[in-house]
Amino acid sequence: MDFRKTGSPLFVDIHTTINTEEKQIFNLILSPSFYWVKHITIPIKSASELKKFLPSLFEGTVPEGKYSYYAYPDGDTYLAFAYDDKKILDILSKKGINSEQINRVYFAQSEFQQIQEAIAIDDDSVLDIEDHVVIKLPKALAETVVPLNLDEHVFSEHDITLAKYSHIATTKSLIQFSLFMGALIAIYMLDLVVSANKIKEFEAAPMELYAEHKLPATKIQNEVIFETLQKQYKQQIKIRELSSEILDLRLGKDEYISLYDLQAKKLTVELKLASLKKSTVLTKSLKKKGFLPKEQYKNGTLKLEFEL
Amino acid sequence: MKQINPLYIILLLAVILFVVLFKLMQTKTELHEAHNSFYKSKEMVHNIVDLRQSWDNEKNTKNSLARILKSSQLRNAGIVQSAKRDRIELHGSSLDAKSASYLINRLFNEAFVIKSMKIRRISKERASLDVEIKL
Repeated sequence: MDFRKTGSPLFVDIHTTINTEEKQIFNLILSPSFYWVKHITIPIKSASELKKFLPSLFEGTVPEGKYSYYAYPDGDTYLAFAYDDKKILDILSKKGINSEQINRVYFAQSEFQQIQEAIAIDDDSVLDIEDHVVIKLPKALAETVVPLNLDEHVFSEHDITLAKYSHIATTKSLIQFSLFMGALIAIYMLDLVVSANKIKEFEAAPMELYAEHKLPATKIQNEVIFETLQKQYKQQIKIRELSSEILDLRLGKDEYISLYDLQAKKLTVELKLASLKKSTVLTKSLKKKGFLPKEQYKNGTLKLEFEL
Repeated sequence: MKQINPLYIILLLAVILFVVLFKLMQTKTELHEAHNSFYKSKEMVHNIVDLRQSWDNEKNTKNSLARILKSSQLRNAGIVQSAKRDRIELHGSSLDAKSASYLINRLFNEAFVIKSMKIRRISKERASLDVEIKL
């Protein structure tokens, strides 16, 4: 079943004048003036296989340009076509037929290769057959001529599509580019999905870690625990460093520590010293090591208070 | 014979590629952040475990303290131990200098959380001592 819209049959030659209505749709039959045709005998099984050899087979026999190619079997041989999409569309456009008005496009070769008599296509030219090839001839060369009548024409299966943008990119290069871009997009999409999954895994992993070590479920709670423990650890280290310095102070024969009082945020030490001079020396030595106590010397006792 | 301009297809693919790349870059940044956040959390958990193991371990504290108080230097020093819900208190009303020095040394060299410590000289050879250790 063919779901494509139907169109009125219309024969087009370079020199024919066409009166078209806007929005009228056509099934076009292209005059031989629009294409080059060749009979090719080649040991190839299918037309699609032949298609890749067509550019080289037409090389040198057609003027320079950007051509599309088409072929179909004709008995034991193949009929091969070369045509310039843009050139044809430009001519059709000048004749008032734009690409939206074209339903299907056929070659005169495929549509008139069974004719018995020459067909008049305008006042001066006819279509005739020579060596199985439909050609355009001056009317004077034809013996008998019948007028062109497409009212009951049955189209062949050999229709072509005129590539409107072949001058920008060929279908093949567009497919190659699309495949390349598609592959690139697919690779990046895959990377995207993998990365998104990894993010989910990384987001879920700390919960498992907290559960494994019997810690609270949220990061904030654990941060608070860590800060508390770290603060406690630092304070205990400071207490030990400070106590070590105090116990290592060089005291004279009758000098001694009379009180060591460690509280939550303060360490108070009282030292019985021989003189104020000794008190100054000891305080200086502590300050040199980075400890800055509040100091008070009274009645031979030096009282030091350290903030923890 | 309607045909799409190949430039539109190229443009569409380029836009899709750009959007995917943009999204991918965003996701990679998020992944990097999630990765860093996880390793920071992991490091924090290990630090918590280490700190708890050494500084916040009730069982270790009790065992170590019992070992110290049972040592030959302190066995007969007259130190009174009382355990509260969250701390252990040690009291020695008249410790000799050698025992006091030994105890202080051991307490500072073990991972005890010392909440308070008060040492008062009584005489040349004796001192009183009060210590609170967190459990």
